[in-house]
Formats: sequence, C-alpha cells, structure tokens
Amino acid sequence: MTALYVITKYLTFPGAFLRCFWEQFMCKLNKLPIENNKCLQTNEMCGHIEHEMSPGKAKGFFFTFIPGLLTFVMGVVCLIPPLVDLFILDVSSTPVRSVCYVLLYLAVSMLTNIFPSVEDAMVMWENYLEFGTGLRALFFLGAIIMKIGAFCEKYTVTFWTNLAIAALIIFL
Amino acid sequence: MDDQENKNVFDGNDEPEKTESPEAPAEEKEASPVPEETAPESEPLDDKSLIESQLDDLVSQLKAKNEEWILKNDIQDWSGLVDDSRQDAEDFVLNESSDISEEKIEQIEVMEIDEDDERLCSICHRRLKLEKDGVTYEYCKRCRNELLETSYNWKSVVTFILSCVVFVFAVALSAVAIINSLGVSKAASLTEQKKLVSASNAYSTLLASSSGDSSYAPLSLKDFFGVNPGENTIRDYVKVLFQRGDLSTLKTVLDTYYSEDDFEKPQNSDIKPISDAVKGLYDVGNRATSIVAAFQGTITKDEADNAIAELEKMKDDESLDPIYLTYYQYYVTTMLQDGFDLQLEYLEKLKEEAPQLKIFYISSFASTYLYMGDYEKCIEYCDLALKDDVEDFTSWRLKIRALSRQKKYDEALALSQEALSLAKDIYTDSSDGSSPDVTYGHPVYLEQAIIYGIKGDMKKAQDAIDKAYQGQLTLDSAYLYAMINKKNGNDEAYDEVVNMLAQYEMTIPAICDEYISGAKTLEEVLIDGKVAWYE
Repeated sequence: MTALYVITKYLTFPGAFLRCFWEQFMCKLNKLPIENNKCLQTNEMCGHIEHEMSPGKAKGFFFTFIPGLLTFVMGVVCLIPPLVDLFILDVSSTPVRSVCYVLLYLAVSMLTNIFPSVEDAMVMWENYLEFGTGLRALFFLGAIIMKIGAFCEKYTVTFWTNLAIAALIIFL
Repeated sequence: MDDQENKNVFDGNDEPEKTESPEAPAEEKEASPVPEETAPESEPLDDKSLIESQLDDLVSQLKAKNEEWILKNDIQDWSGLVDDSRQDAEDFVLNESSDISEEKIEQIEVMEIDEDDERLCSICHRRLKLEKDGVTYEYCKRCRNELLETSYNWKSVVTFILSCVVFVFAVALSAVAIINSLGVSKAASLTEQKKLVSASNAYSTLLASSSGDSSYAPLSLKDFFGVNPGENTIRDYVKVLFQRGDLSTLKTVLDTYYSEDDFEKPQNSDIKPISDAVKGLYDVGNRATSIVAAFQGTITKDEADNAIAELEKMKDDESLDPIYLTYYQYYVTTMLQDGFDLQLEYLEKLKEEAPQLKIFYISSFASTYLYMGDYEKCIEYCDLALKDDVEDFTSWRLKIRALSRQKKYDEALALSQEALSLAKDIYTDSSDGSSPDVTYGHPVYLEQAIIYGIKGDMKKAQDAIDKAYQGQLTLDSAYLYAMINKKNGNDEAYDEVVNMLAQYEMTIPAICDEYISGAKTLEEVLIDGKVAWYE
C-alpha cells in the first residue's frame, strides 16, 4: 500500500510539493523545527515534511488544517475553468480546452494532497477533543473530514476519486 | 534521581557514538575525578598532572552543577550552561597541552544513549527535551535551534511560485467561466420556465458576443477571456429555436456552427433529429416552391387539388421526407376559400405521422378552429401551445380573439393584460430602445385596441393601437390605426396610413369608413362583420 501511496504522490507531484510548501510555511510561521524538508520520499511521509508537533491546542489544530485548506482553495480554483468550460459549456476552442486539461491535472494533483499525514491528523484530533463544546461543534466537520481524509489519502482513495471526477469532467 | 538520569543529563555534547573510551573505561570514569583524591594540594605536580587534575576538577564540577540544575528542574538554562562549560574545558585543554586534550575531551564526552527514553531529544537522544512554559517540546534546545534554521525545500518553493502564477491565471479564467456560465444558466432557466422568446434572446446574445468557432484560430487572449458559450449552449439554443418554430434562425445557426459530420458525433445525437427536420423541410420546400409559388391569395378547389396531387406524387421520391410534403399540402389548403375541413384533414394527418413536430400543427389547429368558429377547440389548442411556450404571443392573440368573438370582452381584456405583463418581462438586450412588449406583444396590443374600441374607451384604444402599429406594420394594424386615429380626430395619422397604402396601390376598405362615419360600430365591423383583412 505504501508503494501505491508513494506512486500517487509522485504522479501528483505539483500538489505534493505545494502541500509541503504550506507545511513548511506553517512551521516557519509557528517557529516549529523541521526535521526533514524532503518532500518526495519513498515512505509514508512522502508528500509531507517531518516536523515537530505544535504544542498548543488551537495552534496544533490549525497547523494541520490550514495547509490542507490552502491547497484545497488553489485546487478548487484550478478546477473551476475545466468544470465550467469542459463539463458545463463544452467549449470547442482548442487553446481553451488545452489549458483546461492542464488545469484539471493541477487541480487533481492539488486535491489529492489536501489531507495531513495520519500522524498529524491524530494529533489534530487529540487537540480537537480538548476544545470546548462550542469550538468542537464549530470545527467538527473540518476535524472529521481531516481525520477521515488522512486515512483516505493513505490508502490512495482520494487519488482515485479525483481521477474519476476528472474523467467525468472530460468524457461526460 | 538515579545514576542513569545523571549521566544523560551530564553528557550534553555532539558526539553520541563515543559511548566509551579505551583510555578511560566506564568503571574508571564512574569512580573518577575528585580533585582532592587524585591530586592532593600538598604534593607538587608536573605540568601534565596539573592539567589532568584541573580537568578532572572541571569534570566533577560539571557533574555537580548538572545535579544541581536537575534538582532545580531548570532544564533550559542547564542546557546552555553545559555547552558553555564544555567549551571552557575544551579551550582550557587546547590552550594548555595538545597531547592530552583528546583523551580528556573524550572523558568529558562519555555518555550512554537510550533511544527509548522519552525525556530525551528525539534527534540527538542525549539532551533532555526542551521544556518551556509547562510545554515539553520534541527536541532539545540546541537541536530545535538548528532545525529552526532549516531552509525551505527549493522544489516546493518553485512549485509554490508557479502555483501562484497558475492560481492568478485560474482565478481570471474562473471569473470568465463563471460569467459565461451565468449567462448560460440564465438562458437555461428561461427555457425551464417555458419562456422561449426570452431564452432565445439570451442564447442569441451569448452567441453574438462570443468569438465564434475558434477551434483552429491562432492563440489569443480572447480565446481565454472572451465569451465562450460552448457546444452545450449552442445545442440548447438549437432546441429552443426548434420549439419556438423559428426555422429560419435555426437554419442559420445550424449552418454556422455545424458541418454535416458534426451530427454524427454522439454528443450531437439529441439535435440530429432537429437538423434532419430542418433539412427535410428545406429540401421539400425547394422542390415544392415551384408548385405553390404560382399561387397568389386565394385559389380555387381545382387548383388546390392539382397542387396537392403533384405534392402527393413527390412522395415517391425517397430523398424527400413525406411528412414535410404533407405539411405543404396543408399549406395549399390554407389558400382555399373556406377549405377548413380539408385543412383539418391534413393537420390530423400531420399530427398522426409526426406527433413530435408540434410546431407544424398546434398553432395551425388553433387558427383553423378560430376561422371555423369553434372557439372552444381554438382555446384548447392555444392552451396547448402556451404550455410549451408562455411567450407565444400568436397563441395569446388567437385565444384573446376567440374570447372576443364570443363577446367575452372583460375576460379577453384580462387575458390581454396577462399576456402583456409577460411581454414586458421578456429578456432582451435590444439597444434600439424599443420595449419588449411592443416588439413581441404587438399582436396582443392589436386585440386590446379592438376590445377597448368596442367598450368605448378610445383613449386606451389609441394607446394600444399605437403600440401595435409601432410593433409591426400589417394590414390589420394599419387599418385599425387609421380608423381609431380618425375617430379620435387625428387626421394626420389617418393620412399617413392612406399615403403609405397608396404606395402599394391600396386604399382603406370602405367598411373602415363606415365605422369612422358612425354608420357601424367596431363590434359590427370586426366581430359580427368578419372582414377578411381581420380574419
């Protein structure tokens, strides 16, 4: 499974590097040491950087949440033109279609790299459980998505899902 | 605090592999250096012994300090202190004597590594993890400081920069795509609401503002940031035009955007029947024109029979679709004076042969029944047509007229107001300043003018006929315009119509003058009189 996971990360390398950048950015922002900044590795940390866990509850939660969110936003923005031009409008212009295919690949690569590593997700979940009731209700959806998504990403579910969506956009 | 802990705490340095020294076995080190035991003050010492003694002294001092710091639980400061002390020791040895420095430094650096000890830094496994403000960090202070200096992975930085560029481009493209899709979704929503005139206008606007078919055009910014309505939009537009029965525009759109091969593509399978219908109708039209073009106005029964027979013969030609020949046969019957039964016969035939081609028979049924005086049937077919297109103002007009013929003027007036409120809401980007109710609702205004005229409200009749006349110049609108204006004392408008008709060698019918002179009421002229030009 790790081999498959690593392959998907290599196939979606732009998203993996972007995710790593955001993780490094968050580490620098929170003054957290980075143990290994190598992005593409041949182990379960492929697509993530090794860093010290953030000590604060809220900080720890957002530290895991924000890189995914930023990658997600960029991925969605890249997805909109292909979604509209290829799927909804079925634009015939060759240059527009070509650009849309490139953007679709970038969108898939980014959306395949939005979830944290399982280790980070578990720490985030622990931090989340220590929140007060109000905050827990507010961030429930985000936390549960991050936690489930981390496992989905580990087992390459996100990659295949995104690939299926891309196929629908192109061929339907 | 046990010995093991003391050892770990003490050994704060950078060389974890050196767990023991051949020159200084562990036991020896455990027992070592208490200055008083190894170097009594009373005995003279040579230089080497002095240095060793001082180093041993330093080691024991460090040990003592470490224990003290651990007891105080001030780990952060301790870490720095050991570093400083070790540096002092190294400096001291190096300054005093180089030949014993290695040995003594190793003695100072003796330590044991326990990787499972969770209190130790997970990188060096030697120093305690940093504790600050009640928080235990993953690494010791020194390792943290070093790791904090770790620079960004350059590949991820390059990816980020490129992603930012792509992001900006994608945002701009997304904005354009969303604007395009808003226009398309507006048109689609109007189609859903069965407002086919508005939908048709919306699609037409989108196509007009697009760059056209740029499949093989050179790359330009307009390709990306111009209006790109897309194939789906054109397909939807084709369907709307067909539903409306706007065949001439439909043919233009099909000829502009599609080649013959395009209709063989699976995505165009839903518009292929439409294309076939238009092609079939035009093919038949080209051949049938020679037969029907000779007829002007009304024709005799014999002429009609001959033309119908000729069209029937053409059905042997397999290249022509017989449905459209039947339609032309119906067309011939419409030129017959009082040929309503025959008209109905061909309309029923059309309905039976091609029930899906509603545009060819629903409105025709309604008008035929109106002329026949079967107003209920007329209204029934008008309702059927309005169910498919609420902006079908020809059907609105027929329905209002059917009610007027039954002298249900209030009902007809209410219906005309309903129709005009729809006409006012028609989506249009017309830049000529004309309001949509005039452009599209003029047949309704004409009927409204008649109803107001019959009811004696000449001011409203005047307003309505002005709009009807402005909307479309037809014989009935011209005559009524002249009649109502003259009746209201506006001779100029009357003369305008007279002069206009004179250009075509026509005059205002005598019956209009009867109304103007007051010999007949409008009801007597138009409702009871059944004048041909109004029929």
